[in-house]
Amino acid sequence: MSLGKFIAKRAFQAFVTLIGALLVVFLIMRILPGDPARLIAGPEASWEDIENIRKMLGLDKPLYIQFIEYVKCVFKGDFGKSIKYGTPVINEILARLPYTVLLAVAAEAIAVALALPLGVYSALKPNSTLSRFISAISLFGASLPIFWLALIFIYIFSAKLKWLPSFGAGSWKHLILPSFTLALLLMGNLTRITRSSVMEAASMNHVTTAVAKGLDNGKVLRRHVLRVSMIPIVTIMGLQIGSLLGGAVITETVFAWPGIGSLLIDSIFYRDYPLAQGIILFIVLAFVIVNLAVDFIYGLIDPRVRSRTWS
Amino acid sequence: MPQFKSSNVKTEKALSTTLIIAIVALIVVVAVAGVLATRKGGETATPTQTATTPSPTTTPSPTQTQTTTTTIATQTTPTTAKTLLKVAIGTDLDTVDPHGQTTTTVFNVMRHVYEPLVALNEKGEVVPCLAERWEVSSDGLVYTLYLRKGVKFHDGSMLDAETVKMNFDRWLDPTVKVPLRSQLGPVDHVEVVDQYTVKVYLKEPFAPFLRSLASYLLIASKEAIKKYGNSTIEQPAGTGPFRFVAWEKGKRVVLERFDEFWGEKPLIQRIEWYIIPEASTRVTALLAGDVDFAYNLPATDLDRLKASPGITVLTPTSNRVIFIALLPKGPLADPLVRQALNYAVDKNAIIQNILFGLAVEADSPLPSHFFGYVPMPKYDYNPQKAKELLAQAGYPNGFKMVLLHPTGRYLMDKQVAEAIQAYLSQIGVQVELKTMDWPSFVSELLKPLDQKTFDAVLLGWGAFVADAYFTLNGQFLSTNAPPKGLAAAHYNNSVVDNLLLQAARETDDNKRKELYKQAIEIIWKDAPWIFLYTQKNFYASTSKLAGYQIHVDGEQVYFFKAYFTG
Repeated sequence: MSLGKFIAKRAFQAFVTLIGALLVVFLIMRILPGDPARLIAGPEASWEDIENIRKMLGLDKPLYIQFIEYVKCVFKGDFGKSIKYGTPVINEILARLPYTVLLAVAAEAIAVALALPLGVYSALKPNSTLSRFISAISLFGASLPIFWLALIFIYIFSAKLKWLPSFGAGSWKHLILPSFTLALLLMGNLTRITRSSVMEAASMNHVTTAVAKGLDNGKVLRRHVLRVSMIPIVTIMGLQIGSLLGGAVITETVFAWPGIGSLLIDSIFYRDYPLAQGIILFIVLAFVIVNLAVDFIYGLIDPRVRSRTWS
Repeated sequence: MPQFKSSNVKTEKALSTTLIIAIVALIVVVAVAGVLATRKGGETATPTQTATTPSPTTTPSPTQTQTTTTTIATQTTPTTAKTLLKVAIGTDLDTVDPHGQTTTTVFNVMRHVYEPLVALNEKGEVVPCLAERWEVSSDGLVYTLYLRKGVKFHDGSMLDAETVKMNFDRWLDPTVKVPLRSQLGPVDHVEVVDQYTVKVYLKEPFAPFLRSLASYLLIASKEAIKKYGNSTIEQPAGTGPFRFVAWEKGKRVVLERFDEFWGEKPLIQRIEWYIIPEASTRVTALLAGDVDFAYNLPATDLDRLKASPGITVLTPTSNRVIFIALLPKGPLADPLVRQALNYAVDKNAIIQNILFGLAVEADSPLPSHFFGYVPMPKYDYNPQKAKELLAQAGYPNGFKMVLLHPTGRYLMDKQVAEAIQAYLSQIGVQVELKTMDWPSFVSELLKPLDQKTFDAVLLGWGAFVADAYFTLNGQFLSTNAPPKGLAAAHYNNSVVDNLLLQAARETDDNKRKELYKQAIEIIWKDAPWIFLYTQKNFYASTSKLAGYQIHVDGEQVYFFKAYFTG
């Protein structure tokens, strides 16, 4: 398959995924009980006010007409207006997006920077005390409730030590606590995957051959072990980034980080149909793109993948 | 992506047999690290209470690297200049349009930017604001408002009668998103009399009109209304003591002092409202000195904050009454049974043991600061009397009922529902609890009586305006029963209906109070609710902040005259 065909095929798959997600999200939001008009106006509002809002939002029309109108608009690039904010959905998403991307990239970078060396070390020296310690930390990190961890971090580093701001976004200092909290969570999985895949790769025949022919250990590790073991690691990284781009809901909420995750939760509780639909579509899109990127990286890392799919 | 899944699962399996022993070691290490960190902090970090003094040069302890030291030094630099006020709120704004307001906290922020025509003082009395004085016609249909002269908007335009008319017209325009339009009252039209006089004509007499004007209609500038027309106003221009600078969504709202404000100028130069959804984070932010004032804190932190030096705890009584609405079906259709349930619940014990004291026991369907409030003899806790009443009603062995309650909507709502379940079981009433998320809860409430799958519901009713009209008509007028309104108990009493409708039209305050008194007496005896309590709010501020004013509704805080002491 040529590269062009490959891209075309993947783009088509992405498109089908998006349409499917669109339909599912549209229906699920409306199956959920709860009337946005009532939620906007509050329980104390009167019947006339509620009716008026419903009409204004177009929620008095039959469901299939609402869906057709929505799809038509989406294809024109118009994601509608948020019920809660009254502003275009796309503006709301774009306002929050930089924060989400920043947090995702920072957390993933920290996680990778810590997890790779630790994972490789514990794979090469599986029985040392340090390796056991690393495995324990990564298990610990992956199983801690992030909510609790975040509050403990805020307590120690903001309330007690006063080193870092306790909430919000703005400077690099604001980024430290949320990104480390998230990184600790991500690190657990990443370290364990690195460890096991490096161990697996190190026991392969070609590595034995390389060592037997007298190649020094550093080169064996770089060329023959790491390269082979990268595939599962990149896969996990891709999945992690994909879900981080959907917003780290809990971390964002605890640290008052103005990202997409807190916006999504908010929009669902508010039954803000257009906003929730827009955000979920965006998340699906982000996932699809990250996966596509991961597929390309496979090819870069592994010549076998390259020959199967690209050439 | 199948290949993702398989590789993931495989590696998970390969790893599943690792290292539980070492966790203990890790916990020890984390604990030690924590203790070390805390001790270091005690040596080097300056306490927030001295935030206004210049940052002392921190001598690095031998264990610290150069980089950490720099961090500490920059962090202890005072963040709160004396004229910058930082406030933590829990909800983001939904709109800065003065006519689109629905949430008290958001209204509270916008009230610093915009002003109403009349205002309410601490006692809940109507006092002048943009209108210096007013007259009400004897039939209660015409309100003549005399406007203050020389009032400037933030965009430079001046307040006049035309501006006020435009605001009313926009409020009434059905193409503008005004969610609470009908709450202002039955306004028919507005007439400009001269440059500083307007006449507001009502369709029918509406006694709470002035209070409602104070609580709903914020006045925007002529230019802003012309510019935005019937779309949402995004760049606010009001007459308030602070002007709007920025709204960074999900993050903060920035206001700055308006130097040409007509009244007493604020001492605070700038207010930053930070949006912190998680209540525990608001507490920590206050303790860390990152904010000076925090709204709506978790009740579980009340004792801790009271014991914290440099923190002032505020617990104003809110506009929100909490009750259990009893549906008139089955045994609950009998007033004797409903009274029995009122006697069976120990409200005081619930307030002290579950609510951390953050409530006032109900002695009326209204909070005590409302216009029209009269105290009634309380239903004191008396399970014996409750049993007798049940027996009298023909249920000596009790009965079964379903209680619907929200979770996380009101203070400790789930725990309160559980306590009530326990109290009622003592008189033989078996309660089954049922909960739902808020949107589903509301749509369940809105079902007609015969479709409801519950017998009683725990609900709160927070009127925007501290006037009997908004609570009593909303909850006890038979025409407001679901699905039309949210009068949760489906109460239907034609005498009460008449009294409430008459009171709404009565312009004489004393006569109006008398009508509400009669209505409340009937409602109290009829007991369509288990009358529980009025919720208190829990806010806290640094003790160095003074001069702010808590609104009579117990929800809003006005920082117009706030200042820092030292």
